[in-house]
Amino acid sequence: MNQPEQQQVFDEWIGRHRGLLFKVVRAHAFNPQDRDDLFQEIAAQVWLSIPNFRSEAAVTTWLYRVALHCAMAWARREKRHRAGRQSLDEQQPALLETRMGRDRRIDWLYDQIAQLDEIDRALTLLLLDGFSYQEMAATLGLSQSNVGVKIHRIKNYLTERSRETDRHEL
Amino acid sequence: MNFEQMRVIWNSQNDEPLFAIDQAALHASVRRKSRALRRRVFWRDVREISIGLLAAAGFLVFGGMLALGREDGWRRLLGADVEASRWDAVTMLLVSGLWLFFAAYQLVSRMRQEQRERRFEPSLRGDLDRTISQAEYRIRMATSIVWWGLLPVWLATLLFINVLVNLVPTPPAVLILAAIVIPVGFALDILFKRRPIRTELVPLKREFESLRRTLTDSERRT
Repeated sequence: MNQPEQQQVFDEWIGRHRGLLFKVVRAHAFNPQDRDDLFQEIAAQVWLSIPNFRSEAAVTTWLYRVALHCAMAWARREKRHRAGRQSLDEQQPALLETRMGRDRRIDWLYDQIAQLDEIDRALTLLLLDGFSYQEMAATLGLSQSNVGVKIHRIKNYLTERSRETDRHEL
Repeated sequence: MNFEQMRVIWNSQNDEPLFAIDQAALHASVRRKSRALRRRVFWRDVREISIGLLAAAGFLVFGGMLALGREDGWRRLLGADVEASRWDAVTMLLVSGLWLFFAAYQLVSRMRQEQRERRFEPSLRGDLDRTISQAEYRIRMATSIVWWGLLPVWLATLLFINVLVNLVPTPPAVLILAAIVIPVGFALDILFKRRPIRTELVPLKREFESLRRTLTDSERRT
């Protein structure tokens, strides 16, 4: 694959599936600078991984896998380096937060997702985006029965939390 | 709110994304990050493999010329006024062999690791396994490089100095200095190679192992 082809695939995938990447970013990074940093990191990883893409995998599950692994690695690296770092890199931000259409219930959902461990967080994103058990199992490398058990727990947890939260807040 | 309602709310993000992408800034960032990665990989290869190969080739030519009795050019260059012996030639060929061993060790280890990484499954679990394996490889290399990499290079340097001393009259002060600088340099190189094990690689490996354990523990509980 030459560079113009790679560029074309990259632009098309980022354009078409940016919503998926935004969700992963928002579930792992909690301020605008971090979100921009993580989004750029994921975009770079997608760019580098495009030549390794095998067409037997669906683009969405493949992108989820790349983005989730990148987000987990980024979160761990950030945790280690944060103490010694004063300012983030001063490049032009690639991710611009839009103010329109903010739904407090979405913020609440992200807050709940952020409380989960990384594996459950990944599963919740896939679950909310409507992936099948089989796709989730293949993306994360778990058995379908395990995915089933975990999803049952996650659904219970979210429903319980929603009940506990004041209705007026939502 | 039940789970189906949550899903409906979640899907509303697709209609009105909360972020917009600055395409030009994104392209610039991707180019910058991928260039930086390629540069890092290129220099790592140059440093670890090409230097060994170039040094092996250089010493092979030097040793070959000494063995063929065509050392006039070298002697003029070094200001030597004594004939090179057959042992000097043999020593230089040995030095070349040691550098070649150093380069081959790095190359074979890298190839083995690439082979190992190919067998991981295409899933998040496979990605975690690959990251752990890469950390283990770098730890293994940083540990074993002392005996299989730096020791041969150190030996090669001593032998080379021995040949130079035979060919060029050397003041004792220079020899004493070399006797101090070489072992100190060797020790510093070991420290430099091993430092990332403690500060970077072991913590990284532990963190990814704990993530991996989260996956496997839940699998066992099912």
